[in-house]
Amino acid sequence: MKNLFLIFFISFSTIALGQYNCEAFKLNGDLCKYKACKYLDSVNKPFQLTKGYHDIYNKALEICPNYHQAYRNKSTAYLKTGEFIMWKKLMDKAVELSPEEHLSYRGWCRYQFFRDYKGALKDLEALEKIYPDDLGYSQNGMYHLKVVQALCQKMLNQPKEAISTLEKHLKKSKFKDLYDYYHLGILYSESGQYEKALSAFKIQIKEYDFDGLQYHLALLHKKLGNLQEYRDCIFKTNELHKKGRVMTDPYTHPLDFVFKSDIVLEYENVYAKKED
Amino acid sequence: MSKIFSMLHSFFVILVVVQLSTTILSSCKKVVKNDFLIDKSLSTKVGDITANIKVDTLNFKECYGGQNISQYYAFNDKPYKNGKSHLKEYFVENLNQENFKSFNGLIRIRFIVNCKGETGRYRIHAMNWKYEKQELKIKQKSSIITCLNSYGDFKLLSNNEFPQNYYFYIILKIEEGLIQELLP
Repeated sequence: MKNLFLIFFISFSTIALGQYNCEAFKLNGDLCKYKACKYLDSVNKPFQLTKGYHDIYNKALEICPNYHQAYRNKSTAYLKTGEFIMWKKLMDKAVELSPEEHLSYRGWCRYQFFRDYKGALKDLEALEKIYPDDLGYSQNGMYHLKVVQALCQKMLNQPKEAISTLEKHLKKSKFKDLYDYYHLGILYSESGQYEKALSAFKIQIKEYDFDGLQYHLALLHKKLGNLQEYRDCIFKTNELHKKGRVMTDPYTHPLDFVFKSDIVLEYENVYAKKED
Repeated sequence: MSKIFSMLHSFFVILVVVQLSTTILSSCKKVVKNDFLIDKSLSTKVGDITANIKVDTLNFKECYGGQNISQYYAFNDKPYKNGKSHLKEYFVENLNQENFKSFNGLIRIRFIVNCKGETGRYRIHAMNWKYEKQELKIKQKSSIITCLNSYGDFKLLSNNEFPQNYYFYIILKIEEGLIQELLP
């Protein structure tokens, strides 16, 4: 019982830190992973794209070929350089050895970096069989993976399924994440459910008001014939954009990102003057 | 005396056999051992592009002797000078999509942007949706490079007062020959 508690504690702290506590492997009697883990702990790691970094992880894999985290850590360099084939080979190996730990990351990356919606959905469906109650969050912490599932459905031209997935998730979820109601509002708007879209955007404004939100709200008011509201929202869009209140990601543009060119175009339509 | 020689002979024979079998076994073990090192051939940094006179144009030069080439994500700003949607539209309008009629998957073009915003050292690879390598024809590759070259320059990015050389890539998501999305 005491050991069980200790394992639980170690495992939990491990998940929280996003890295392994080597002692947990030892307690589980997995000395191979313990040795690889201790080796990795003992060395300073250079920048993750360098040969030196990969030599270190290769050595860890020589110590323990089943040390799945090493494959995943190596894969990141390929992800960041757009080397999709090598990235996938490494992540497949990590998933094969430990699907419960790596399926969520592979699924998220397929969506976010390669817009492989079918592949991402497949991974998230497999993950759901392992964790039917809670899929967990994306690597960057921005999205619950149920929201990612909904966005994949949307991009595969399944708006009804996307709305249903998102609605069910939001009903069940205790938290409102940064962009959830923004995406839901756009989905409603695109499927002609304008009142529901308005309600979703109003909830989103309380969570985080940014340029894309005001832009889509403006387009919705335009569809509804609320021309004054449309003009006001376009004005706010431009102001928020100038203040840097935008969707951000260091590597790519999130889905439903509104580009400056679109904002300028709409702003010029309304106010008939050039962006300075 | 002959008994001693005979014993020594037997000893050396056993020694040689043991040595040989150890060598053979360890070499076998090595083959198995390295089998899981999927990217063991890495020679420099992942994604580095060394100049190749067979494929690169001679007029492209990195600044500062090419000593330091950053990654695009090391900067606060993104490299698209006129926005990503503009670049996508440019590709849609100018890439001869007839050349990609039966293509389904991703095409990645990695390249260097120098401190003047000029691009060069294009390296292209492609995959299908099983993440398997797809060989592109020369006319397909050259139409992509022509399109990128004619698009013009990318943003000057700097972490201090001087613009830096940096690596960037774009991915074209193509379905049945039509460009669906441009990444990252």
